[in-house]
Amino acid sequence: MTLRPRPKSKLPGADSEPRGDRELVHAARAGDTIAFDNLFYRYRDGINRLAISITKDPSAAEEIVVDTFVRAHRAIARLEPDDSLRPWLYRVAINLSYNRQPRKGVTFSSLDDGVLDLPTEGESPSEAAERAERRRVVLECVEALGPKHRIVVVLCYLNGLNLAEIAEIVEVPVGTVKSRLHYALRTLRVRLSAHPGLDFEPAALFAAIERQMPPLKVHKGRAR
Amino acid sequence: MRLLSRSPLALADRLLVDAALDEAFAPLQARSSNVGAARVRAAVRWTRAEPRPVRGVAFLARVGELSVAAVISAFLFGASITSVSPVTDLTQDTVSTGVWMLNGRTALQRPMSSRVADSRLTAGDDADNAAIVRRAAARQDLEPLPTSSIR
Repeated sequence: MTLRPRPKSKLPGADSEPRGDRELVHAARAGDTIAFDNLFYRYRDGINRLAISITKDPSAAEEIVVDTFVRAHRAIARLEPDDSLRPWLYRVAINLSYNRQPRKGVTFSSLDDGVLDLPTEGESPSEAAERAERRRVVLECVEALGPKHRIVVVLCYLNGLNLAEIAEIVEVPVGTVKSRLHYALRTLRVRLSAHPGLDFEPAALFAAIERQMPPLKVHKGRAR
Repeated sequence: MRLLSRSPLALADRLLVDAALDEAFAPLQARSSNVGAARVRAAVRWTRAEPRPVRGVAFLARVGELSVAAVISAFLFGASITSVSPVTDLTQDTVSTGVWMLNGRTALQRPMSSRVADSRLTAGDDADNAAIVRRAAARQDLEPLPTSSIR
């Protein structure tokens, strides 16, 4: 198991657009289509990932992205200036995703459909296969969670939102979000322990940490 | 060592689950959408909301519909009640005067023939005459009258 730093929420367009959400909303309300496009490109990928994680249908997720921003375009005149746009958009996307009926005859088994598990640099095919198997098991365990706990895990680990933002999206207190996240992680830990061959053990974790840490240089100081 | 004060999940377990989730969601995080802003603009143009009708006008229209329905109902109810009252039969009165004849139930017609020609009207007279003759013969000791005296 390899450790990597927690990915921050990706905000495409944020680098090229210095204005914040509030300024962009004001500009879009005044009829600035470029500002609305910047908002779209800023939150497009996050909403797409969230919709895929719920519907497991990439094409449906794209439609949900479009529907979400169509609603935002209609409602942008009614949005309060102090309201944050991101929780509002994610809330609309979650509702659209849950209300969307699955297409007849089309089933998507897991979140990782369509994702190639090719070996990365310095990784053998067997290690790549083991990594793919680990990911499949983890995603199955996430899918087995209840909807309230699953959406908290997805918003936290997939979209990189903090607890306050998640609380605003799911419209519960922050303490409830903490409780749900804790319960979900504990359940995941128990379920992952049922797969001892996949290195879901703390010993493997610490071994990975030791492998990634640079070796300590011991300087022999002169004793005075 | 525990991450949260009341959490029974150890830090090592928490880090383990964190790492497993990060690794599991990594391919999905690298995924980007191909939807462009032009598609949203087109969708906004196609699904542009129609202007809402004024609420006051809609309320007045509804009140008008209800009042028309009430008037029609009242008319039908009143008509059904007034049709029960007896209507004078003009045909019977006309027939009783003897000027008109009732042909069938409602059709009226003038008498087509004279009193002599109508056997229903003259039959009673003949019978009365025959009875008079018979009573007179009985008073005259059963002496039969000549047939020529009977008309």
